[in-house]
Amino acid sequence: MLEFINVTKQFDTVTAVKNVSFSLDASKVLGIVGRNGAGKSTIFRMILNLIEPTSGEIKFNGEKISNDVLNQFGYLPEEGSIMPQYTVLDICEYYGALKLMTKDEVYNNLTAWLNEFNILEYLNVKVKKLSKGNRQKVQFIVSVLHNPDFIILDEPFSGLDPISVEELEKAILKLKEQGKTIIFSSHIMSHVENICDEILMINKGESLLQGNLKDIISNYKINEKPANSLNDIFIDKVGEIDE
Amino acid sequence: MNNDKVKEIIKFSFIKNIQNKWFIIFNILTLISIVLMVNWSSISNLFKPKDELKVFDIVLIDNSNLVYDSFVEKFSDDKNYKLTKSTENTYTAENIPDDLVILEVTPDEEKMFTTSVISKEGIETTKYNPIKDTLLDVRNKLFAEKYNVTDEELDIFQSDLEINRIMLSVNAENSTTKEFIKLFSSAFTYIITVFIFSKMANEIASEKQSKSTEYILTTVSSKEYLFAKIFSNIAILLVQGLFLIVYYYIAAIIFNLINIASTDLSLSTVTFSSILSKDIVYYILALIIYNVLNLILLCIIQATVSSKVNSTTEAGNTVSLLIFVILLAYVATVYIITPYTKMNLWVYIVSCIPVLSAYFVPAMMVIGQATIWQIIISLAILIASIPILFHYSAKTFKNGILDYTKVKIKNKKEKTLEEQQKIYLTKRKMQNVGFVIGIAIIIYFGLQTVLTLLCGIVLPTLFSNLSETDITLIMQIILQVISLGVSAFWILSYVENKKEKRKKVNLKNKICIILIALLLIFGLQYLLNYLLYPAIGLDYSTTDVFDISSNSSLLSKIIFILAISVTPAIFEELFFRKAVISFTKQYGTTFALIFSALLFGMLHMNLSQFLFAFIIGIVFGMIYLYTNDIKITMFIHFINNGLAAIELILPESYGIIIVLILLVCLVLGLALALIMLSKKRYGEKFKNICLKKVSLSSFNSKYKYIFTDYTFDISMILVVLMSILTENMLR
Repeated sequence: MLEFINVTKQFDTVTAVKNVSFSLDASKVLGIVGRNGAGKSTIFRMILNLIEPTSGEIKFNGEKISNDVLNQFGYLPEEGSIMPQYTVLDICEYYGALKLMTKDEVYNNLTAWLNEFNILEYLNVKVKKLSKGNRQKVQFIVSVLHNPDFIILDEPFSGLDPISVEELEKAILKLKEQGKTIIFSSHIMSHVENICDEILMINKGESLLQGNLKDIISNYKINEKPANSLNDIFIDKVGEIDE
Repeated sequence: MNNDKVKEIIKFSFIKNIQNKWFIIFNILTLISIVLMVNWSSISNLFKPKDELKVFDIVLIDNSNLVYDSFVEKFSDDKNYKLTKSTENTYTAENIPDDLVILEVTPDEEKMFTTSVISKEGIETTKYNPIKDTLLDVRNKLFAEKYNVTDEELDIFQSDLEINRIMLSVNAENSTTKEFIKLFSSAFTYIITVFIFSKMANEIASEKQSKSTEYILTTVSSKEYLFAKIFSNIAILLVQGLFLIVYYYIAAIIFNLINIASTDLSLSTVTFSSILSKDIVYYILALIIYNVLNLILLCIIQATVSSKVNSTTEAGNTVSLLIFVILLAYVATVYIITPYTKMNLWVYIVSCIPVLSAYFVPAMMVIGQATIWQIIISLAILIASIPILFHYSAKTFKNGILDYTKVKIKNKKEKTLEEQQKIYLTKRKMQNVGFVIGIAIIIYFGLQTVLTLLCGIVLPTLFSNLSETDITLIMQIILQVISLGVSAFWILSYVENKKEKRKKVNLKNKICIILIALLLIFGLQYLLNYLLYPAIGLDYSTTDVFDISSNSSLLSKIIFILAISVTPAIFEELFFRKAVISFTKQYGTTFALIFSALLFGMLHMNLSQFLFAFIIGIVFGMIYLYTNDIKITMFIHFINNGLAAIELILPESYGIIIVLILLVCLVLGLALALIMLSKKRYGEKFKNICLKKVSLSSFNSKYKYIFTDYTFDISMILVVLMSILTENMLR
């Protein structure tokens, strides 16, 4: 269970995150939505110990997140993390080894996942030869290869064609059924609606809406009428702030 | 530290580097080169046919038989030479073969004999020296015979001076060997430092670019990562060194295989035991320890600096920077630590500073000035600084990789976003102006320097029949055409060719403008040269430099006119008016006017001409802005310079006629000017185009930003320096 308690992050010229709090139980999927530059990636970086929060606490299963705890975390960065000049297998062996996997484990997991996404032929292909979508799939595989308990995905659907989007959504749901906790961020509300249990809507570092997705959609009213989709809620809520 | 993960990072980096195809290609080429270099003589012998033995022919013309016997004694048994006697030289430049030398020996009363050595081309030293030595021997023997000197006495006379050199100080022992070792180790460490810096910097930069470092920093700490990078690169360095040693052994084996037959060749290995004394062993040990520790320290610094770059090209720049710093430290050592420096406390303290100690202390050991305490303290500091630096660098490294920068907010009054954007755009525009003009000036000076050198060498030989003044003037012409031409072309390439709505200025107006301009200019010249300058002491003429008068030849006069009035007129106008004004016009016409006039004044590079040129620059600028026709200003400029030139080359009597013509023009021009300006429409048109309100605030808000471009600043400094130089030369 992840607890994000009253966290603020102040950079010198801008406050990226203002007093955000949420908690996430195991086997749940949290979707973070917000405009560009709202502070989503900053939240992820703070969870992963890349940045220190100015104030507030972040705990996983009751304890502070140390490097050992991070071994159980998986991360898909927004701008990717794989070096293009090596093959898929090489990269996975390297990153897998950094998460203390053996070469056999890496090979088995990798081939299983590649099959899942129907891209088994890219096992020995250099990453720079892959298209953006396929690269994104490999990126996702890298982040979940070591069977982490907690997975953070920053814009995982970017660059994917509609069929691949469905494959990825299926994969995330399968991981959820296995008891993993997943946070991801996206701009496209339909993705969020399809797989999230809870959402956190932030704008300019502040939390606008958070909680159970179904409850929010059923309770939210735009101009006295119930909201149809998360997209409408987003445009309404965020537009209201910006006016 | 998590050892497994660190090992994984090290392993990955190491293996990927060793298996990299460029690394392999480099090593194959190095192997081939080393094998070739070691076996060069054997290989070249394989390709030379064995029978062909190059024989050197000596034809001796020695009719008095002075040297023949000695030559026979020396050369008849040597297979490389063939000696023949002859009575006279029958060879000429056409029929003399290569590898043949003719020695003509003629008796001489005082010198015993004189010799001429005739050959087709130069003779190789190894072939020539034996001949020379033999001749010298014979001459000395003949001398000895003449003055009754015995053979033993001759030997002593010919021998080298025996000196018994004793150095009492124990420290001076082996200092030459130590010096040699120091030089060799400096070169060696330099090479490996460059190697490891480049590898490490590029690796860190490219991993940062692919964002993989950010990801890896979520599983390992920055300390572990930094350590792994440094360790793996040092490992690669060691492996590469091992490879080189292996290549040398392969080459040696091949050498021995090839030469297994002939026993006269052998690969001499330096017998180390002969030069090793305890002193030298300690010295080498100290060198190794200092250099290794220093390398580790510098690697930490290099890795941290590399984390801040944004591309692999920037990584290369940081490597150059650090290598430069190291070279500076080395040069400082050479200058500070000499046998003649007084070793006071300060030197000892400075020599304990971490990076410097690796250079200072060994240097002091060579001259025997290093103390035990100094060595212990400097080593201790060096060893201690490594973990301390590492600890603090890890944090900087992490911030660098994640691109965190501390931006300080300047507490100025809050400007709105619009204002800030506007300032930013203005700054960029002005920076562009500065850049273009700055580069133009640098091109100008650069071309001037290069062309002066070239012309100084080429022209005197090309035009050897012309006088020095003529050649100088021709050089001036070439310089002006090319320097001003290229710089103008550069600026004009930045001017967009918009179809300007050319104001139809009719011929009558053009003539009026020309006459008015001439009036102003001549009046100004009179004012300045005859009234103002003598009053304040700026009284020197710059045309006296040229040695030309009414008596010079027609060609000289033509060249003079060309150099003084034609080319300056055309090319200065091209540059200062057409190029500069067309380019800067878009940023404000008044700015263009004043800026071009300032540049015009400054590029004459002396004070007296500056004022005159500045005012003329304004006049010409206004004319160009009004008419958009460069030919008018070219013409006026030509007339102005031309008259100054003609003054010098016409005989005295004509001078008065010129003055009279000038006077007529002046009066006409004055009258016309008054008439024109009285007609309101001309006056106002003129004002509207050329004279806008100039205010100091516009300078502050807009034009000061031209100095934010560093090429412009450099070019201005250049101009000022050259002006000071020229000013001094003219006085």
